[in-house]
Formats: sequence, structure tokens, C-alpha cells
Amino acid sequence: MKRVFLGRRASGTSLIVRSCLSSGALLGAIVGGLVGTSARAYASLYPTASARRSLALAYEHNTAMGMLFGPARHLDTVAGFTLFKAQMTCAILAAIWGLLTSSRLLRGNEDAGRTAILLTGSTSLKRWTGTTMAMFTVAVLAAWVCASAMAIAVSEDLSLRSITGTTTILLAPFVVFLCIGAVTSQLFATRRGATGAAGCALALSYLLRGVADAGLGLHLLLWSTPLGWVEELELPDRGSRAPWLAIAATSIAFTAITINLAGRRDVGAGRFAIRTERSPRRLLMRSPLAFSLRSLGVSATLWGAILVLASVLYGLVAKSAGATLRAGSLTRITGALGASGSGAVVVLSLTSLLVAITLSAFGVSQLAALRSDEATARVDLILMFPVTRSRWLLGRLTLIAVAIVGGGALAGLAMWTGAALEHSGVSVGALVAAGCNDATPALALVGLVAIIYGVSPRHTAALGWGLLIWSAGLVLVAVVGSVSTTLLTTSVFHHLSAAPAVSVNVASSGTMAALGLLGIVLSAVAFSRRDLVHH
Amino acid sequence: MSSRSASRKGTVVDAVIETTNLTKRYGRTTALKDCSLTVRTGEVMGFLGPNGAGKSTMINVLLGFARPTSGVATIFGENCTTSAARVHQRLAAVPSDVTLWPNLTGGETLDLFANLHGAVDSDYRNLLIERFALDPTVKVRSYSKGNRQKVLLIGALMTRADLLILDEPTSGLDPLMEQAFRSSIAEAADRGQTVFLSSHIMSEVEALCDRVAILRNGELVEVGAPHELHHLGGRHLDVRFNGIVPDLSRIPGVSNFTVQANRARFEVRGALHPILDALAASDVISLDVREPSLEEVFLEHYGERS
Repeated sequence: MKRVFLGRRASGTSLIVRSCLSSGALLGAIVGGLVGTSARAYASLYPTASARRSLALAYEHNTAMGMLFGPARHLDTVAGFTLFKAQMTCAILAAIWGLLTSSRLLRGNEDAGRTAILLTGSTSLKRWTGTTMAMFTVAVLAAWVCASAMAIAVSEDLSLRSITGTTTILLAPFVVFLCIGAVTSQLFATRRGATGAAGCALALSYLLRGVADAGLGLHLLLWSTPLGWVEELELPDRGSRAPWLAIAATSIAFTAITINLAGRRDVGAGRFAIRTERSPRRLLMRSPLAFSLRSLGVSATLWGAILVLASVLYGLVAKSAGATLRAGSLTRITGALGASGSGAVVVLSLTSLLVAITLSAFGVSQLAALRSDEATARVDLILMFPVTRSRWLLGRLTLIAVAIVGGGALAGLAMWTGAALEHSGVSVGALVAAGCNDATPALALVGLVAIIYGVSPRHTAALGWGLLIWSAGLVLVAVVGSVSTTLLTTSVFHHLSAAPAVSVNVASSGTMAALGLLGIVLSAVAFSRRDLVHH
Repeated sequence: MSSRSASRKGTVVDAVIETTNLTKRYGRTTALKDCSLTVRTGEVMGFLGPNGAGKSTMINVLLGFARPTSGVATIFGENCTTSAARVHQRLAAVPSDVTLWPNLTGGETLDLFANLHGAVDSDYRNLLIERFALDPTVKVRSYSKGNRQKVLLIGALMTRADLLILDEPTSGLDPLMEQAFRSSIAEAADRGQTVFLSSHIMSEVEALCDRVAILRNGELVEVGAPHELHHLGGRHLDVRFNGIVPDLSRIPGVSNFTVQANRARFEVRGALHPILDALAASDVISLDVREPSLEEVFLEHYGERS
């Protein structure tokens, strides 16, 4: 049989296309599922026009909700409600998906030496980068088609036009952050650097739009950030074209910048030079535990800085945002979180949920990094010395747990600092307790993912992030819509007390913390009884 | 009694590494099958085998990274699986296919290894850094493959551990550095350290090793001193005749018989007397007999069976 071999470039392109297709299709399926279920839930919960009008009155002009989830517009229609409910969750998910996809396909492939193999053929780095960027359209199209198809399959309550319009809006951050990740992949010489910089851009973008929506008269800030443009997007028959133009112009500009930068640098190098030499830094190298702390330190500091900054900002706006809360709208929001009360404490309770999700994301990212260390045999380099396996893992997981609890307390303190500057009248003790309370679902999740790592390390990252998205998605949807109680109990965040609006539920929080610690111990036991798994 | 030859309990342990019917399966794939091997105190044992033969699996089991499906592996009398940390107190290793921390410098990596091992000979470390021409102030990210390998080698050698387990240690090293490696291993052997050396480079194994074990498809097929393994390959004979070259190809044990003008080249396995009898009847000008190199033995051995 005659076999036809593709050239290097064509083979490389087909690999990129395959990767883009699978990445886009998976994102699309999640987004489409969320759109479909939201539409179905709305239609069954609010069947009459009057019920829909009541809902719209309760949520529209709600500053706290706007600050966290974006503006509530046209809630008396299925399409309007679906967009509101899914917009911020999907925006963040799609943005993370986009920056991870582009940094993996551009900088990740270069880091691993795969790009160098392709460049031995008849192509240049500039052309290859351009080809890869062009292939991103495959990812976007796959995401859009899958999202629309999934939404159509799940719900009959939205018109085809509304579905395609909604999925286009929800996937817009995917496009922008694909391009942002592409630019940072040219600037930084490592995938970690590229992803970190793009992640910082996303965090800053989220913060700016939160401040813009806080009712402080800074609404114009929305136009300085991609998530702000996304928030301004409306279905095709409504709203202005300006945010669409901003997104399109930025994407085109970033694509051009990416290709231009690729043409001006060496393969394997970034635009920002890396120092190759330095005098020795021997801090935290004395023991395996100390070295684990050193490894954890950089990312923990970065995550901590973002968390503290966000908490201070949310603390600052809590009082003014709380003052605009309508009594009617509170019932539903606080009820979903199990909270009661009004004003700043409720806003801070909603913020606590985001703190818990952030702490969980930190925990999952650390377990994914742990798996990566094993896959690249860095763990071998520690365990080939007189180091007990279970003790080493126990130490590393305990450090993650301590960082999570410390991060929670720090976030509480930062929220209090912001709130105190505005004389919100919430005590430091209540907010630090709320922060520590936020750490408990993260601990439970870390325990669960640690068991996965102990038993089946190859599935750590996928299942870990999947569990986090599932848990966070359910509870965020429940805050603004309806989710069955049975389903909701599968989310770790559902068991989080809405402190400081209510007292910390010691039994619930204690159980989650204990489950987390139990998971850590079980993981260490399982790890000591299995082979190290590379690649 | 040297400290090397004493077990933790004070009894003499002649076998540093001992595997008994060691089997390791990954699903349906058998990576190691009933491997029984002994590495004695103070010897340099070469471990040869083609890609996928199971060499790295054996080393992973010895280091306690992989658990045997059946059989036992011990080092200094301690079980490699259940007492890995204790075993590691007396060994140092160079694993293959590992990734160093890119943000640490070479020197910091060596400091880390020293701290994790507990004690190193710092003068010897400096000597090794000089011998291998390593710049320890450079970040690992900027090192070439060879320089990263040097960090691993220095990290293992500087410990002066009783046992060195080296998995393809010269991968990426240039010929000058290979020489530096050979002299370091010779020093280790002179000090009485035991070395378990997995390698593809036959000349290296032949030059350094007291004994060689050959692994094929997970099975140990040969164990012996390099000179003992030579019988596995044929002797190379190069004979010049005065006049016509007789047909010697039908003599038992003769193979690869080629004739060029008045010169015949061939290999002979087993006893030499049948061919010598035949040559005695001919008009021979010159006769050259050469023992096969370990590389030829290896290639021939695998060529025959695969």
C-alpha cells in the first residue's frame, strides 16, 4: 500500500488543528450546556410574564450583583436571563481556556522543542506563529458550533437567533484571551511566564470591571478592560456595536503584534531576556519540606497578592454596593447562600464565595503542579535521596493546606482593611473568621484531588479542574437561578456558610476541613504504595 | 572490614544488589521477567540492553520508584520497596530522562542534592566541577543537555556513596567529558565503591566494568565478565594465501566467509582446530586472529535472536 507522508509544516498544522478542535469543542460543550440548562430553568421557574417582571425588578440596578456577575439586563426574557446567568462564569472560563490554549500551542510547543523540529522544514518562526494563530479560528469555530448545538439540544426555550447570539457573546473572551496568551507567549521565554502574565491580565481585567460596576461613578473603567467590553455585549438586536469593535480591533492588533514579535526573536527566547547567571540563593534548601516551601512560595505569593488586592477592593466598595441593595432582591441571593441581613455584610458574603473559589483554584493548581513534577521525573530527583515517600507528600500537601488557610485569613484581613477604610462597621474578627471559613471548601477539594493524585496521577489536573468548575458552576448558577438541591449538594461551595452575613457553621466547616485532611493522609498512603508514573 | 561491606546490622553482606525472580508487569506488558542478579561489593557491573529491554525499569525497582509484580530486590540486604529511604542513605543515583529545576543554578542544584543526601565531600565536589568544566553559577534553564547531565553526575559522585546507580550517565557528554567520567568511575572503583552502570556504549562498559549483565525483552540473557562473554561472538580471522584461496565456508563454525584476491576473512565459533587443520593443508602467508569486542558480541547476540 502506498503511504503518503505530509511535510513537516503540514504535519505540524494538522496536530495544531486537532488540538484546537478538541480544546474548542470541549469548551463549547460546557458553555452550550450552561446556556441550555439556564434557559430551561428560567422557563420552568418563571413561566408567567408577571413572575419574570418581578425577577427583573429584583435584580436590575442591584450593584452588588452587577459587581460580581455583571449587569442584569432584560431579565424578563429567556435570552436576557440566560445571558446574565452565564455571562461572567463563561467569560472567566473562556478567558482561562483561551490563554491556556494559546500559551500551550505557542510557548508550550516551543518549550518542549516541538516547534524547533517544525522549523527545520521550510518555514520560519514568524510564518509558523502566523499559521498557529490562523488555526485558532478552528478552535473558536469548534467552540461556537458545539456551544450552539449543545444549547439547542438541551433547551427548546431559546430561538436559534438567541442561541447563536448568546454563544457568540459568551465565547468572545475566548477570542480575546487566545490573542493575549499569544502575545505573552512571545514576551516570555517559558510557558509558565506566558501563562502567568496572561493570567495577571485576566485578574486585572476582572478587578477593573468589578470596580467599574461598584456604583462608584467609575463606569467608564469598563472600557479599559476586555472583560468590561464583554460585559457591554448584548444580543445582536440590542446594544451598541462599540464593544464588538473593541474586541475585534484588539484581537487583530494582538495577532499582528504576536506575528511581528515572533519575527524578531530567536527560537526558544522571549522578548524579555532571562538572567542566565546569578549568585547562589540557598534559602529553603535544607530539607525536602523546606524545598517544597521554596517551590510553593512563588506561586503562593502571586496568588496571595491577587487575592489580597481583590479583597481590599471588594472591601472598599462593600458599603456603597450594599447601600444600593434592594430588600426584595436580597431574599433570593442571600437565600441561595444561606445568608440573611443587608448592606455591606451581604456583599462581603458574596465576595467570600469568590475567595473560596480562588483558594480552591490555587489548591488545584498546586496539585496539577505536583503531578507535573512527577511526570517530568523531578519527584525522582527528591525521592532518590533518603526521603520517605509518604512523609514527603504529606509535607508538601500540608504546606498547600496551610497556604490555603493562610490565604483565607489574609483575604479576610484584606477585606476588613478595605471595609474599615470606608467605615463599613464590620469587625476584623468576623472577616478573618469568614476568610478562614472560605478555606474549608478549598481544603475539601484539595483532599479529594489529592486522593486522585495518590491513586491515578495522570487524571489529577483534568479531574481536579473539572471538579472545581463543576462545584463553582453549580453554586454560581444557584445564586442567580435554580439548581436541584441534590445536584447542589455535590458542590463543596454549597456547604460554605455565608459568613460574615451568618455565623460560621462550625460543624459544616469542620467536616470539610477534616475531609480535606483525611484526603491528604489517604493520598500519602496511596502514593507510597504505587509506582511513580512518568509522562 | 570496610564500612561498605557491612550491613546496618553489622553482618558482612557480599551482595550489594540482589534481585530474586524479579518480575514487573505494566498491564499486559512484561518489562522484567524472573530477573535474578547479584552485584557484589566493590564491583563495577555493566547493564546492557537495547531500547525497551527493561534497564530503566530495573533501576526504577532498585530505587524503589516502581514496585515489583513478584520477586524481591534488595540493596545492602534491605528491601528496595519497603525500605527505600534506608537504602538511599547508602547510594547515589543518576536517573535517566529527568528534568532539573530550570530556575535553580547548577550550584544551587548541587547544594540541594548535598542537603538531601546528608553528607558530601565538598573538596571532591569542587574537583568534579573543575574536571567536568561546569559553570555552577548558570541557571539550569540555560545549560545544554550535556551540562545538565554533568550536574546529575557531579551530584551523584560527590556523595562518595557506597553504591552508585547510573542510568545512561554519559548521555549528552562530549568525548572529553566521557573521559572525565571514566576516570571518576575508576576512582570510585579504586575507593571500593560499587557501581551499577546501565549504558548503551559498549566501549565504556568494556573499559570500566568487572562484569556485564545483558537484558533482552525483560530477561537477563547473559551475566559475566566482559572477556567471558566473548565466546558468544565469533573470533575474526584474516588469512592471506599464496595462490588460490581454499573454500573454508563449509567447515563447522565458520560464518561470514568473504574472499578478496588472495585474502579470506571469516568468523569462527567454537573450537579452532577444524579450521587450523584446514589451513595447515594450505599455503598460508599470514594469519590474524582477533577476539570480538563486546560491541560485536552484543550486536551479534541480538542479531541472532531477534
